[in-house]
Amino acid sequence: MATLKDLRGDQPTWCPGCGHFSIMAGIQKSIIQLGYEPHDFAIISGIGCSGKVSEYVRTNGFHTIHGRSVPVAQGVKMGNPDLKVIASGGDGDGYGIGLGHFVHAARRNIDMSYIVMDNNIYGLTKGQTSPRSEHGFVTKTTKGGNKEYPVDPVSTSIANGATFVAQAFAGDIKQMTEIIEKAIEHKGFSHVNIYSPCVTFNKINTYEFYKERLTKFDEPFDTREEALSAVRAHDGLVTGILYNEKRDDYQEKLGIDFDMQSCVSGDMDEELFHKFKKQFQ
Amino acid sequence: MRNTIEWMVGGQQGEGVDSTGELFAKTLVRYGYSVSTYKQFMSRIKGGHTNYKIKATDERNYYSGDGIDILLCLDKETLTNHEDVLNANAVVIQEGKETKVETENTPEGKPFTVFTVPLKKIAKDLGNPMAKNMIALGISASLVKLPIDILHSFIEEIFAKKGEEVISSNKQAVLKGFELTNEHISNQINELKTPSEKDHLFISGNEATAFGSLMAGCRFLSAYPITPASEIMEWLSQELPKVGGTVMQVEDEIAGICFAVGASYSGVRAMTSTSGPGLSLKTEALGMAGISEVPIVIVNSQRGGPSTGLPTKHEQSDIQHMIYGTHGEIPRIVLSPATIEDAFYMAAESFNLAEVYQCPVLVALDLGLSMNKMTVPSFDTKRVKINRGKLLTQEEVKEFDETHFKRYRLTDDGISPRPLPGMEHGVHTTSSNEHDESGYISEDPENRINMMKKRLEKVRHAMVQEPFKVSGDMDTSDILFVGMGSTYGMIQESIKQLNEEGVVNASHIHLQQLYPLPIDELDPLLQGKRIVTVENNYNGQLLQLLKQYAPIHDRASSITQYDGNPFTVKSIVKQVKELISWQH
Repeated sequence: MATLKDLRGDQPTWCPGCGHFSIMAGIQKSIIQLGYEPHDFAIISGIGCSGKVSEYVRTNGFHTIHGRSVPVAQGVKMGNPDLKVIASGGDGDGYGIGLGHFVHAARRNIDMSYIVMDNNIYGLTKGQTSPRSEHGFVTKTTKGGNKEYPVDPVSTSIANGATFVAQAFAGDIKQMTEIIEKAIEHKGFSHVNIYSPCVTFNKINTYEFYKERLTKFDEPFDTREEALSAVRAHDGLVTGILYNEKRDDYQEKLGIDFDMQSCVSGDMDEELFHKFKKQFQ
Repeated sequence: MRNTIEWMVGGQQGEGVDSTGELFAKTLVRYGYSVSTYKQFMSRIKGGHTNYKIKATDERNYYSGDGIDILLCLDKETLTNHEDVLNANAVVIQEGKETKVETENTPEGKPFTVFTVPLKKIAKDLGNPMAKNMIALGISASLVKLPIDILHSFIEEIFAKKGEEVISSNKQAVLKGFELTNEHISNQINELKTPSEKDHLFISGNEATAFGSLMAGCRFLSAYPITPASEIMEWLSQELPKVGGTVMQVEDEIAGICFAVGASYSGVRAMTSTSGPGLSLKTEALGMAGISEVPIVIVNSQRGGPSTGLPTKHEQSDIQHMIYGTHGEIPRIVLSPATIEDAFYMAAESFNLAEVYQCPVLVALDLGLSMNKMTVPSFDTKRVKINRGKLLTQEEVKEFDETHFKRYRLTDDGISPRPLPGMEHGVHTTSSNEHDESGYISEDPENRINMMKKRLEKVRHAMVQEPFKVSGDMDTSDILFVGMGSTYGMIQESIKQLNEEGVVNASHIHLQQLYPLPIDELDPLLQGKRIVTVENNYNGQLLQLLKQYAPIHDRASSITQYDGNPFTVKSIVKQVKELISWQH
């Protein structure tokens, strides 16, 4: 059985106190507690502080480009359905530059997990407003306060057909780890948005901010409508598994007898050639 | 007896121009002819003039031809637009109130016959108004004395599900066409010489590319619909599930390449297909494939740019984009098949090169090559052997005995052994950041230099089986034409004409590997000759490429066309003559 040591990769460079440490630990613990080995997983990350998680957790990792962890991760799962696939990135990566992919992944329902480290700010570029920054938020690029309103990530995935939607808080490692474990074991697309305070650049959305305001739900809502209402009633400040539905995932729905990995060096398949050639004669 | 027939059907989009053209082409193919085709169409679903051009010969041809022997007009514009290219004694078939035969002259004074037939009325009388184009096909076939059985057997295949009545009325329509010709036309077009039976395929460049990819073991394509590349994804989406693979039509062009990169990373031979606008969107991920050393095949079927440009028209203006596109410097290989059979072989080779060199391979098609069908000799499955390069098996991975596998191990040839995610002892990190051998981020200058050299040197000597085609007398020719893509046939025919007229003594190189340019092999052939590139873009991008590598600046120029249409032999010959007279 894998130990925490087995799952330690490169030395993290995040700021001391960053919420991302807890999320990394939550992923590592989940893998251990579920009885998997590092080689069973592929963590596909985007760009930003959060993007480094694919190097810090020692599984197979692919540190991709800004906003594209989700399409790359879905391709990985399509290529090898036996792999456990996690896509991970930040709020700018997933709800800004990569938002389109997120919505389509939700409706497509490929069996993978998407863990977003949501710190409401662009940290690695040193403190600009993010698509998750609240209205009026003052940053280097919004000196007079943010004039826009934030993206609502969990409502977006619930509304667009995701079969597992949850929200967690880096300050509550126990609940977060339970949620990540369930997300990993969920068959289909699971979205976990995790509030992860940026201790250096975000002086508003701090650990204290969330501790005071979050409402915890222990059971998922029965319908998407109820889940959406609860999220709206609490202005998005909720944690727990909000929606969970059993449905065939994309690959099951295709109903193909997948055989993608069997290509070996050598001659082309002559018999196959003649089979396909006929239509051109 | 004739050994060439040039035929065209023209009409409004949505009127069955495509299906009528395709059926006549297939009839000629089944009879044993070598057929080249070209479809003109517009970026709309219905309306607007469109046409389908065919040239059939008893020997292999690569070009759908400049002229027309039989012109089937489904609208008024067809004759107006094409009258000037009618060959002498051509027959024009058109709709009219009553059957009549008249003789007219082209603007150049060539006589042609106008055969007016009440196609709609006859079809209606046969009880099937839809069969009017079949009457015209019957006339076309009988003008060149094709056996009626071939058309009849096609009708049985096409309408098999529609029932006996539809089959019978269509067969009668064809027969009616034969009768009308016999009654009214006296040997205007001679009988076609019967060709010998050959093992032929009638296939488009897109289909050949898709077929070659499937045969090379490609099992995953992710893409976004775009003219003129969509048929690649359509064909594979039909066929890949039969061999355990799949096509995904994803949300955008960026996802198109990212899904394929992901699938390839997991060990599948994967590709994406697109055209210029899509390639622009894919260039960041192209860079990711380059630095992270993930094999990937990107087919780019070029069309009229820039931006939305001429979305349904032909152009070859992405040459520089494919060679240089993306920020920073990456290893890549850019191929450009000259013919449809080369599209099959080079698609297959591109997967080998992508895995052997662990880099992106771009396959350049153009609209002319992509969308038009041609008769080609059946493909040789022995020509390209599948080679997965330094991909490791589970057993081989174990032998390395590493806790964290060095995915970017420095080796003599710059290519690192590659485990797959999921393999025991093969846990590794792949990265778009600059990284050290372990895949972990590194900004160390010495490591940076090592990694840049590793990546950029490894493809230096990459070479396809046939990096270029050579024809003509290299020793005595004083002028060398250089082209790429679908201009192959037109350049060949132009040279034949120019050489016969004694205008020049010309030879021809058609490039099939644009990057890395096989300059050591090309250099001796470029020596001492006047170089003329023939290309469908404004800036002479192929010429710029050659100039970058060869000292030909004082004796090189280009013939270009960028109006959305392919070259004709006439236009090439004219430009060559102007070029020569200007020089003297």
